[in-house]
Amino acid sequence: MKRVLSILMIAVMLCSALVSCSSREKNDISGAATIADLTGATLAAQADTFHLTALGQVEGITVMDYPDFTDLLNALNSGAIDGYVAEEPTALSVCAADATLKYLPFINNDTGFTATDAETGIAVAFKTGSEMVAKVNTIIAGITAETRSELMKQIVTMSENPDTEIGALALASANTDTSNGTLKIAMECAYKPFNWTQTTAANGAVAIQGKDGMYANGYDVQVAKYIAAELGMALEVHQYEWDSLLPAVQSGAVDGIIAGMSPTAEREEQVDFTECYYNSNLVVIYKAQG
Amino acid sequence: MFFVQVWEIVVKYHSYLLKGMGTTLLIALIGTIVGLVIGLLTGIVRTTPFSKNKLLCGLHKTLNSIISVYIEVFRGTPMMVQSMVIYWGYAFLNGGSTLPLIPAGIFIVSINTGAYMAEIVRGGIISIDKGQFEGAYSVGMTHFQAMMQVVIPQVMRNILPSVSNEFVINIKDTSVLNVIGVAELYYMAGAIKAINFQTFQTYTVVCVLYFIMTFTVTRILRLIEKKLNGKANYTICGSQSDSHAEIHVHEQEES
Repeated sequence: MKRVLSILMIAVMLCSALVSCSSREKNDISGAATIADLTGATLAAQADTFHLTALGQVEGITVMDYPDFTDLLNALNSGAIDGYVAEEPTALSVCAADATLKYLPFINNDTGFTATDAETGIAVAFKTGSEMVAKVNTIIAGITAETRSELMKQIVTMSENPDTEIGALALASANTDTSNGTLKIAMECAYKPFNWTQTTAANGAVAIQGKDGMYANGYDVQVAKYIAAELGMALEVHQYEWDSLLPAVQSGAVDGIIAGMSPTAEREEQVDFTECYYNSNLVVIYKAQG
Repeated sequence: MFFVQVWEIVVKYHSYLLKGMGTTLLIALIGTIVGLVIGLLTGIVRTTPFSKNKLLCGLHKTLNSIISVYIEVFRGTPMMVQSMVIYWGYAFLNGGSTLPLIPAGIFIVSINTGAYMAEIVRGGIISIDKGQFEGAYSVGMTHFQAMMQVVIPQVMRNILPSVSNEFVINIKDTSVLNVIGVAELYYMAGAIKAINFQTFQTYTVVCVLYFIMTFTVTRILRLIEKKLNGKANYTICGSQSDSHAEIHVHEQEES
């Protein structure tokens, strides 16, 4: 009798648990022309980023945050959110990999989010007080806006099939002298199209230090190669998780970070940033209905 | 569609997956063995009676408290946090030279497992009946001899299930070493999902691979256990003071 009762109790509890998790009501945001049209939607951004802060500019939305950008993608695919904030290059890569995903091409300070260049830009980080900042600033200043956008276009194309050669890139240094030593650069190698891991050395990918058979490529890698070459140094790419990037440069394990990192005020207290080497529009990725 | 994508991941990234599995098994295996050695040493030290010599007794007590601090600290903090503290602590203290990753991983897993094993071994030693020691002393053995020749062989057999448990836990727990960039299986999954954006599919593959590893290991260790138990008509004396507590080994044991 006791056993029957307990089985019944468990069955009732299970049923009530199932009933309470009804499906979330989804919002179609595909027609949004400005960020004001997003009202009512559930939107997400990566935790501790400007993207999350920027969502505060939209009224009447439910804001979620996730630790990793692939979590955002999972949340979107599973229907937990209606869309998430990403940089336009990331959106291009993500949408190219999955035909059911689209993005709303907002333009910063126009139809999109209000943001300064520092908030949407990405810069190279060095140890506080490093004289490298001034040297690298000169090099970055020499990369024109046209070259940046042309290179990003090529990188996005490349990211769809990293192992297929696409030919000469928009940014390449003529300097082949590496007598000034080694430039050790840290990145995640997991943030397409800025930096990713691939299995071959195609398209000038750089071998990741200590990781046999793994190569890094992407916008950050090409910029790092250019900076190293202009400095007359050989480039070494070191892979670190996002949280380890700052300790890596502070402890001296690497010389600098080129990892799609924005120069926020909080990070500025830990490391020194150069000028930005790329600025992106913040867009919203969503899943096409039906 | 889903299974096609899963299969594509297996085919395309098999080199990453195999390398990751190799690293995972290597770290877990060496970590468990070193951990067991640490456990045996600390277990023997902590169960040895205090010497009558005051100096030796003082030394022994200090050693015991050091061991307790070690056990409490490493058992009481997450391995992920320990990895970050040890890896970056070393780098900050040594002007940026970092520990080589796989040895660092083995070190972290070893000292962690050691802290757990210390308690497992101590439990194993105190579970052996006092009469075993007394018998050994009565034939003229020293405490050390009695420990090595009589008690430890029985302890090893008794703690084997706990040790294999630790091994399985280690196979799974090496995944936290990805925070410092050790290229074990979970790390490889992270690298793959960042290329193909197929998180669920990638982790499905990795999930199956982890299960294959842990299941194989438990089966192998079960075989070793059976071998140690000996023939069916052989009875292990679990306790000499209470005949009901004796462990009888039968052929038809659940497998």
